[in-house]
Amino acid sequence: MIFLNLSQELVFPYEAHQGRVSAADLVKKPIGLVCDDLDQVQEFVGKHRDRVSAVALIRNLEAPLSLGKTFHCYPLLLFTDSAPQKILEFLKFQTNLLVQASLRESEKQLKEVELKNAKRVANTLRLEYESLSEVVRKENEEKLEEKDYLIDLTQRLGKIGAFEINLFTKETVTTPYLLEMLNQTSFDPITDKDFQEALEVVINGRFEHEFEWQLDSFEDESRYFLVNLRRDHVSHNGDLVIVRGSIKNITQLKTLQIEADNQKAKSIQSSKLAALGEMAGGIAHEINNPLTIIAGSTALLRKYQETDSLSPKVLLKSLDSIESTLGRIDKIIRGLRTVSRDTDEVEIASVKLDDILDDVLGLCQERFNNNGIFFTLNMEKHEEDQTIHCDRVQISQVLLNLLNNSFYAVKNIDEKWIKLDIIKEAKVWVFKVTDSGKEISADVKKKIFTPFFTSKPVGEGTGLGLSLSRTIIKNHKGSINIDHNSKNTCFYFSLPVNDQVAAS
Amino acid sequence: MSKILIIDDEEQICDILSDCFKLENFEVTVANDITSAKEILNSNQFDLIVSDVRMPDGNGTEILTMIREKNIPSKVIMMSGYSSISQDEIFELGAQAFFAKPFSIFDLLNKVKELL
Repeated sequence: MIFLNLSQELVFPYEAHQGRVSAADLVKKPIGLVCDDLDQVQEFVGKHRDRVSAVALIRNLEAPLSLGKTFHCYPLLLFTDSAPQKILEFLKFQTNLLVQASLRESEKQLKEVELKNAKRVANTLRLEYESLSEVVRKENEEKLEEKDYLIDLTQRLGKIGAFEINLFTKETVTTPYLLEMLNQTSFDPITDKDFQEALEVVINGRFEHEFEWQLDSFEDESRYFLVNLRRDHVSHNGDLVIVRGSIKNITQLKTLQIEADNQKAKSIQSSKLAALGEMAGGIAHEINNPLTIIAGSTALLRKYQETDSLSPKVLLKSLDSIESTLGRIDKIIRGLRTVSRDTDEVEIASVKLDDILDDVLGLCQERFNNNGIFFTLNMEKHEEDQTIHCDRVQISQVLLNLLNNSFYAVKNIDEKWIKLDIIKEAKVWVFKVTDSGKEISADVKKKIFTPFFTSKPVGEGTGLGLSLSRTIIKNHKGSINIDHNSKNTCFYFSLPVNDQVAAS
Repeated sequence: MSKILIIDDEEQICDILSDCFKLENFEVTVANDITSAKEILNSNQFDLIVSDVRMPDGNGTEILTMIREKNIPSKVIMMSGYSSISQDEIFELGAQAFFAKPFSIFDLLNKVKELL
């Protein structure tokens, strides 16, 4: 009977203690038993009951080779009668099992550690990543919010909203401010008639399109918008899918424009009245002289009659005098009527140059004479048609305005002359009014065509004459300006010769 | 027979006044501008001068000044179609009467007779 004490420390080299196990050997540790002799085991267990933790019965050391797996107690007591060769094999096998188990255990522990470490690293990384991505996300969110805020603010300040129309799904997306601006809960441009027309334009190929849109759905009054559309996305087969655009509230601008137009119309009228007022004194005199002649002639006839000395010769002379004087008055009144006519409607027609001159000169020539102003008219006589395609009233007004300005400039100075040159050039008629008035300062020249600018004393000029003249001439596709090359004060305006003039 | 000088750049007015005064047996001379009127006054004496105010070559008040400066004893009636003419200034300069055009020839004749 061999008794082997196999302790962990004794695995290598293999050491076998023969003989009985001493009590001292058994004190320290719990023991396991492996034996093939039941009696011996029973005896041993009987003596050390409290120490034996497990018992396995193995006959001839043949039985279960997996002993090591389930038999982990050391020291291991082996009671056997088997041949030493068999014991050695068993021990080898058992040792292998132990080594393997130990290795497995180590590997397992290592793996556990590795896994733990890996898990910890992964966890740390995950935490770090999460905290980092949270920061980035927050930053991005803040940036986005800030951008959204800026976009919204820009839209509010600029009174402009944006939209996107998907022509395929017929859906429209808008910025929040757009709906607010339109005072509507939804915006459906596809069903709006004006938008349909505008969409057709971009659908048909125009890259961008702009139009004015009027909305009457407000309580107070109409509102005006400027809409811009743009082709933005075309499908692979060439169909336009996305149209993006903006809508700008231009009500304020439009209102101002309408007001300005009204104001301008009123200014034209008031300026005309002021010009008439300015002329009234002069015109009264122009009519007073002829009236004196007529009154005098009739009184004279009566006197001849009373004295029985009225001869046919005297009668004829008086009648001639009355008739020609009536003609003078008629001319003045005609000119006055033409120039003061309300000219809201522009009437472009072929006008004889002579008619314009009759209108205008009838109103100034006598005034020039009576104030000692030397007036000359220089005009080349052309055989061809002496007509101008224009609005007779307006062009007469412009010419009269220039002559009145000259009259004002020279009436109180020593050297008084005014010259009107009418020149027909290849493509334009040029009217030049030159006078002996003192030179206009550069400062005044700069502002001279500006509305309401006047160099006359308060109450004497409206400051609208030249600015309105410029408007009229522009409407005739002509130009009006100061001749900077002229030695004297010279204003000129030109009108196209052909009939390309169009009323605006 | 009283002598009258008529000054006006309107020839027809001069003709009518001239005919009228002649019918009343006045001796009439006509000037159509200030310059010739002054020349005539330098070598002729008139009982009455009837003059327009604004004329191409000057102002009728120049005649009033000339009369005062040269102590010419003529009486003066001024006439004008301008409403802006200051009558006070004309009377201050020595005119005896002012007629605003258009006026009645008979009123003028009465005034002429009154002054002469």
